[in-house]
Amino acid sequence: MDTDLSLIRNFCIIAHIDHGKSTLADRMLQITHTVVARDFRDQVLDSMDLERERGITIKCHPVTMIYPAADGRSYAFNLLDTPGHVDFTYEVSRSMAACEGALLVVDAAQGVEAQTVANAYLAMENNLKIIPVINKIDLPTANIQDITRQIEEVLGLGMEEGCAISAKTGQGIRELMELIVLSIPPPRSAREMGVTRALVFDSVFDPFRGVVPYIRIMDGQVKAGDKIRFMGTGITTEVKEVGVFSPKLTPVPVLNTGQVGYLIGTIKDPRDIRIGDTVTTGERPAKESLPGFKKILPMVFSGIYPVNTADYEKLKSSLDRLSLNDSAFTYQSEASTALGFGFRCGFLGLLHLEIVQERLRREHDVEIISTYPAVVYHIYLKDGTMIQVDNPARMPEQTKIDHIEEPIIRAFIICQNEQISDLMKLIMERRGTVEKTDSLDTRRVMMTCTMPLNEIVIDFYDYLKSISHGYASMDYEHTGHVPSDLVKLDILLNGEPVDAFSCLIHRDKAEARGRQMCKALKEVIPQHLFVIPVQAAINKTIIARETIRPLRKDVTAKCYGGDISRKRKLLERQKEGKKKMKQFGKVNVPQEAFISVMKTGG
Amino acid sequence: MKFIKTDIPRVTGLYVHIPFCDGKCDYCAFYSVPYDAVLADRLLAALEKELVLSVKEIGVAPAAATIYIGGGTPSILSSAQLERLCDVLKSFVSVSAPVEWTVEMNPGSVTAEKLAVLVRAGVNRISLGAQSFHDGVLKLLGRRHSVADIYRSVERIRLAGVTNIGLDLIAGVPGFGEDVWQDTLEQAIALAPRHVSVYALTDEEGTRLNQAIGRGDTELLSDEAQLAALDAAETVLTAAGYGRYEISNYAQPGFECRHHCECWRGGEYLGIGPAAASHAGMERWTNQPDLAGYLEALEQDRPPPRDRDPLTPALKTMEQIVFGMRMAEGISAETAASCEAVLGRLQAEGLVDLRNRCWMLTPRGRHLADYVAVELLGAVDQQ
Ligand SMILES: Nc1nc2c(ncn2[C@@H]2O[C@H](COP(=O)(O)OP(=O)(O)O)[C@@H](O)[C@H]2O)c(=O)[nH]1
Ligand SMILES: [Mg+2]
Repeated sequence: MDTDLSLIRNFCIIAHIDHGKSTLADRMLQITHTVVARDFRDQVLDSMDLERERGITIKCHPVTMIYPAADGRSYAFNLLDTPGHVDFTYEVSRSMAACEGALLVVDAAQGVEAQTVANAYLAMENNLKIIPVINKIDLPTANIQDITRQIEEVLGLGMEEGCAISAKTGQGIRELMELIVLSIPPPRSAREMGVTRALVFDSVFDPFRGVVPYIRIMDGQVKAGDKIRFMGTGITTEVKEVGVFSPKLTPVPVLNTGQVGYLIGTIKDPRDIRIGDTVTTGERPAKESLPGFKKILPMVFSGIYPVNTADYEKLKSSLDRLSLNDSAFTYQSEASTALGFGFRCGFLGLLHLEIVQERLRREHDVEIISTYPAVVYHIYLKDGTMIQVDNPARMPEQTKIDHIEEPIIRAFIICQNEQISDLMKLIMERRGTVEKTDSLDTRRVMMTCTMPLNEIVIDFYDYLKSISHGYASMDYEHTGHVPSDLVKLDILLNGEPVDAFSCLIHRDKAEARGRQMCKALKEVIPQHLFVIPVQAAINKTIIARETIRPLRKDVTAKCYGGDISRKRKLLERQKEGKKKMKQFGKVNVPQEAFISVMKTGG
Repeated sequence: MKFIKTDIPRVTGLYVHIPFCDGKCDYCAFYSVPYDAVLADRLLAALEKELVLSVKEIGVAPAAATIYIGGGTPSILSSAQLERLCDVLKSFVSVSAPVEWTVEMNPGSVTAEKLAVLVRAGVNRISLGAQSFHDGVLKLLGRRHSVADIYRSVERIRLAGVTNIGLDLIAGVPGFGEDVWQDTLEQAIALAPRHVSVYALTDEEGTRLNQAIGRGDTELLSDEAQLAALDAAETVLTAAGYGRYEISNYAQPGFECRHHCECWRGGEYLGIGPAAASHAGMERWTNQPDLAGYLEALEQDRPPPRDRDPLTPALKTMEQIVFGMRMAEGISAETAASCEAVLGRLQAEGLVDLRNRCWMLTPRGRHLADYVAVELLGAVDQQ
């Protein structure tokens, strides 16, 4: 039994944040009655609390809709919602690997933004059919003409193949649905007859049913009872159930070529499933696996340590659980002389890092300290070998190093004309160069520039937003490693180096950063009974110093009547504060120190 | 068969909070509202009701060896009101004459008539909020009396027959030289009070001083200068025969404030009035600082809104250690046994000393008394 492939459309929606991706998805679910009115709440696809709060979609949630088209036939639309933030390009490309088309949504009042550009490029690389969609045409400030021109000039896409809609009022949605039927190609029929091949593009963990891989059938079919094999890991299992997303997991008898769905086997360990792997069946075994897609490696690393050493196991199991639903997040145990036992964690970017940290605190209730984020450096040694280092504390001795290469990005920054010079200054301060400037319309330009990744991981985005009063947008892609004059900056407290504060930095900026870090630490480290020198050093040479003077007075010489309770509670609060501090040698350092040091980037 | 119940409250002190003032001093964070005769009458009625309720609650009449009427400004009450208050208190106390009965007075509101009423009732100690012997300092602090008022008040108190007089002084007022402070100390001694309290000017939330500091209009003296002022007080006062029996308190031998000493030693007392704190049996409670809420509750015969703080034997011991350390006599090594390790470390750091089997603060430890307290709290935790 084969499904009629011509009745399937697999696509995703890509857009700059807030241009209406989620709203459009909601509207499509509504129009196809995929979600019954009673269940409907805005933005059904964004399910995690954190996503709702931050208004971003982190994870894609596939959904299958049945659309009765004008030609009288019913089509199965498989929509893969995608995250909007640059950090999650990985998730976007995963979705794209399972699609034939993409709706590129552009806000009719805002126009093309940086993520529009980056996502459009990504869709083109993946050979997707792109339908440009101008959204929010109900707005009085909507400017369809200008936006049409931007889409043509900047992205090289013609609006004659697109449409203008309002996801809010529903205007134009039917036309868009028809366009999807007409211009997005149906899945290709099996490229190889007699074999079954499905791409694993995601997976979730269900405590009752084990690991649930999300698959796109490329060739053949998968049904309950099939004996399947994951070609990459070699794991075999028997299929208990297959189904589609509507949007809840809904069982179907069989998943055929072109379809997107899930399978449930008897896989208990999430590590047995590799995203991008190929599933084949015992009946119709494939010899070669699918090309999969480029696995994006973590770009930003940070050490995460429990505040209380007793929480180590709890932190470990929390990280484990987090990594199940977030395959882009990696962790491995490491030890810091300053912080004890913890984990080196890899993230796609700083937002990703922040989200994981917040989840640990909020959902898993573990108090953590995280170290200064670092990128992956290529260290070329004098003996001709190269090692990758993502933790400054693991840097080989200076004398062994021939040279160091750091990761570079190409960034697209879109801003208003009058902000160009301020942003150019910022880019140059961050060791960047502007390759070209394209004007988008009379008000806005797009700058394409090259910058070291380590210059943007901390706070570049915050500066960009504040300089441009929130107008500028940015996205980027990784373009490899280049040689750079980097040095390791160490921070010494009371003469002892604290590895958790070490960072690699360009030589020209080391002194200024050292001074800032010392100052920031002086602000947050409480006075002790003794003098504490706070020093910054390169290769053991001190380049900056602050001094925390000793505590000489700490006494309430005050009348507090008989209110012993109040006084006792004040003292108890101080005691609790002290307990939360981390001890380095004889020095107690509060958690804020790690955050405020991070804020001194740039 | 007879039981000896150990947690029967042994209340030996009675504290009354009179929350009225004729104005607010710039540094003062104590609860107070402007004086109003009608409100004051309602308060007196409410205080009596609270006393009835509290005595019922703890199950015994306070065998109050000490009574302390503080504020606010108790002396702002009229003579008639003071008389009524004293009558109420006397009717509840189960000893005929308290050993020590203190009333706080402000130099601006000390009259012969009020003093006569108090002395007749049995008041035998007056604590006078002198604060400074420099009119400029008094003005800066927002006090509404002069140096001359202090002298007049002391004379009136003595004439009324009260010899046990305590003076409060504030150290570390910014903008005045060390000589001004030295002079204040000397004038205070010259008046030969029995007791002197020395408080350092502190930045407390909700005060005008706090706002001024926030605006950058003024700042507290540096830690060093504050310590120098407190040290100067110790030098001058001890030379004049006053013993520093607690961090902020000095007295001629035998004239230590019994009421306060009991508080610090973990003694039990009843406090009545808005913002007053009590300690009876295994509980501490503090009335909320809200006169309206206080009156409303008691006028409907309900106890006033209170924050309760239940104690455990361990907490009691811990309080004894932490607060006992503020006193010159310190705490016995037996009482502090649970903190021995921490005390040993503090001794090595030069903050405490062990003498005659008692742990006590060193001069440096007195500068860092809160630090020591926090460390001791930490020790209790580790058990
Ligand atoms: N006026 C108007 N507002 C829209 C339209 N589509 C989306 N919005 C609003 O734009 C904001 C961002 O939409 P959302 O779907 O969350 O964008 P996403 O970040 O791309 O998922 C929300 O406040 C939506 O209500 C539209 O067609 N017209
Ligand atoms: Mg969204």
